[in-house]
Amino acid sequence: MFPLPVYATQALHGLVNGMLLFLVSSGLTLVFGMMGILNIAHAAFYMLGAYLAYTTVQVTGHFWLSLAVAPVVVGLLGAAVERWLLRRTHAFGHAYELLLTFGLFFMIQEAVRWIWGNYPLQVPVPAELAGSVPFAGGRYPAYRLFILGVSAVICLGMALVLLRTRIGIIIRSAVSDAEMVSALGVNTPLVSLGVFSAGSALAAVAGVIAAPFLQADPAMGAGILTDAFVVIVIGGFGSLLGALLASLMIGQLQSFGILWFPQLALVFQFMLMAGVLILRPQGLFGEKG
Amino acid sequence: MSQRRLGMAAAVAALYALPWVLDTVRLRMAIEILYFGLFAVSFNLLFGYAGLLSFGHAATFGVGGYTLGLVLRHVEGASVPLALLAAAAAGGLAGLVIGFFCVRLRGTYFALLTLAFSQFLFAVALKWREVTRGDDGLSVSVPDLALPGGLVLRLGQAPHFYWLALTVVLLALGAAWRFTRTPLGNAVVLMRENDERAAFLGYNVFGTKLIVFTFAAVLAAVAGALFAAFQRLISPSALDLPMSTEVVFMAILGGTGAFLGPFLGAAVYMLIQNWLSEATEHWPFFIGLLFVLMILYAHQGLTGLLGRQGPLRRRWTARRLPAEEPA
Amino acid sequence: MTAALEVRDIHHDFGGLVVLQGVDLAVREGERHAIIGPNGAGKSTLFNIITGRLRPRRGHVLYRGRDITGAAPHRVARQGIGRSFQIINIFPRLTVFQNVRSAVVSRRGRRLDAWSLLDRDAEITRETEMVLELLGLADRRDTPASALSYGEQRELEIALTVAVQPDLVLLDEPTAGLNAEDTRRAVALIRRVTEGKTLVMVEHDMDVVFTLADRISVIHYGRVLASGPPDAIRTSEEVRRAYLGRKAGAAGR
Repeated sequence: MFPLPVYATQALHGLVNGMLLFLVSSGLTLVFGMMGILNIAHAAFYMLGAYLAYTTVQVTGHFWLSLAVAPVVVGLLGAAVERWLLRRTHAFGHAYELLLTFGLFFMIQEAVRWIWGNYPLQVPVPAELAGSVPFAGGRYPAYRLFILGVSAVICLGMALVLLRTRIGIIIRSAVSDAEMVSALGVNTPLVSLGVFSAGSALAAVAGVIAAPFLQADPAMGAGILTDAFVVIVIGGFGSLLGALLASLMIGQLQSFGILWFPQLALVFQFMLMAGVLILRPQGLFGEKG
Repeated sequence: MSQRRLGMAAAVAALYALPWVLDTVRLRMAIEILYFGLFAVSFNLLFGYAGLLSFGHAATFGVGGYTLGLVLRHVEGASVPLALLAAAAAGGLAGLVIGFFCVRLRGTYFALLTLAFSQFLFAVALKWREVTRGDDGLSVSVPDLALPGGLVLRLGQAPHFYWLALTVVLLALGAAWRFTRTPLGNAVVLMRENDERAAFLGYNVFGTKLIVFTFAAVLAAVAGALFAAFQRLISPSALDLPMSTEVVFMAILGGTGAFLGPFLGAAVYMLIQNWLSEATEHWPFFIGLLFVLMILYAHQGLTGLLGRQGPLRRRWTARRLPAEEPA
Repeated sequence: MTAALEVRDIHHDFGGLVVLQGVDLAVREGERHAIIGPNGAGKSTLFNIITGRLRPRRGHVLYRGRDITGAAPHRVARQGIGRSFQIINIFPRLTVFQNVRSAVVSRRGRRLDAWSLLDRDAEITRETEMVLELLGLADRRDTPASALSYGEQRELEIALTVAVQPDLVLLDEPTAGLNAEDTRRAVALIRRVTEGKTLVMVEHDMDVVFTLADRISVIHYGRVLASGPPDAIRTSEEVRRAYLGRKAGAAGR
């Protein structure tokens, strides 16, 4: 057994990792719910975000600037993908849309390695957050708490947009019935473009925030991919609330799994995912369909 | 009819004669094409025929490889054919269990659950070190094979291994081809086209999908067993996501609307990859680019491209499907 | 006498929206029974419950005295119950021949045959061609189903349904969307192919209903309002008030 502060620290670790995971999977979930496309390239966008943060810091010396640069660049890239690639594939069915994003994932991942090299790059923690704060009898890095804060703010922001604004209402109704929304005179292609682009930008934000914590790593895309899959399956395809809960669950599962059953840490989340799919294929919060 | 048979016999004879034509490097590639081709065809029984996109097809490929490795290692006097049969049986069993849970789901859900199972098996192969040797992999020693009539295949030599692999793959492909032309094979296509309507005609959707899933698993396991025997090593990477995705590339590249399309795809993929990886270390980028372009402009694959109206059409396509209708 | 199909006290709702509230229905062996009622009265839901697509909240479905409530669609089909769909439901990328042949294979119980070559099976081919002949689709044999005209797709829908040679045929709005000429053809076709079988059909076109049906049941607000021979239904004051009056007014188009 471990002393109590170890549990507290592990729980906080799990929370930080879980919220970061949510930041990545929220964009994925949004796109899946709205367009029915499981965008595998999302993981590559996340990775791209981290590397753009590296370059921004290298060139300008300002980490905070990358929080603007990366989402804009990746958001535009996402818009281009939706407009010129996915829309053409739509007629072949969802399987081919999925496969297309899959091919893009490989391209972007390898392009990143090509441009930045096949090794991890250190992104320094911004000076303002370089220290640590006292926690549970020890100290905890301030930057990780910052991750927690940013994720929470973005999470609340998304909830506000979706629940309180007109565009949020349109997105939510497009999730449940795209045809009807189209019949009501809403420009669905434009909404799709916007949502896909915003989802991509969210992935980039997550990448930027993750960079000082996890480094810009050529394997980070593939690493986050399966985790994000697990999250949206468990949470329910297209459900943001489900994604939030599932991310937190996975965060804790990994945190304590490593503590108690280091041998099985990898296996746990897939067992959980398989269990959910078998017992409740639509996920915890997904609608049947 | 007899002319066609004659042509096929000539083609098979030519395939058996390849070791006299190719050097060892090329022959080794031919062997790889054989088992990856079989792997891709088995994937396409699910995707192209049953409409089930699996993202974890490497699971049974790996099960076949590990089974062959373990049988040859632990069973006294086990021959390669026995180990191949054991691999097929283990693959079938794994397919039956995995399929039991997966085939109830559709589309993306099915793809993700197959992925989950393959990742689960990957984790097991990685962590169960006592049996699998974990990350290091299991080295496989392949005994010589005594044939009737005093012939002995020395499977350490590329030509001999090639003849074994060719025989096994031809038998497996023949069985698969025959399967697609039977009433049960037709039922599998109905699953892709409209499984609900098939149910109201009396077809058991779950049962039909489970059968084809299991059959594809058996073929994938045989391919994986050949892979392990040829590489003399089976490691967790045989079960990992890149293996599952490579087979998707191969099938799409060759064309999922034709029985042998994925086999052609495997061959072309190996050649392109071989050539690209010599030209640049960033070959995955170009493979990805090629894949994206194929999906955008030729999602029917090479066979769809070659055979739209030409004489190849009838040879390569399993059933004369009209061009896919935009839904 | 026992009914071919008996529906007892069926209740169903979709997330609180009550669709059926106690439907009782008895269809005799060999009769042609039409179910009518306004849109949203629950007719298609009832079909879906009979054929196993939905499990009712309450109540039972009996076929020839056997309880088939909630049985899987393929089990219901194998009892000898065939159905068509209101929205065209065929195998779009297969040819007309391959569509119908799939039904013939099922009828012959050869669904699990993993040995014989389907293309070489003369008996199945002959039977399939007979069905195509009967349905007037022979000249469209090798056309992909998706390339057929709408009227022809309706015919193929019926062909699939009757090719399994069911004893009980359920047709869900077989003339939906057809013009007057095609409707006349469809009526003749239905009459021909359901000879000697029990037929239950949902239909909106009153001309079709009164031409074909031996008995009519009117569903209204999730209940059977009336059930009887066409003349009795035509003259029923209750039915007229609830449904026919409005429909007759609208039918003056």
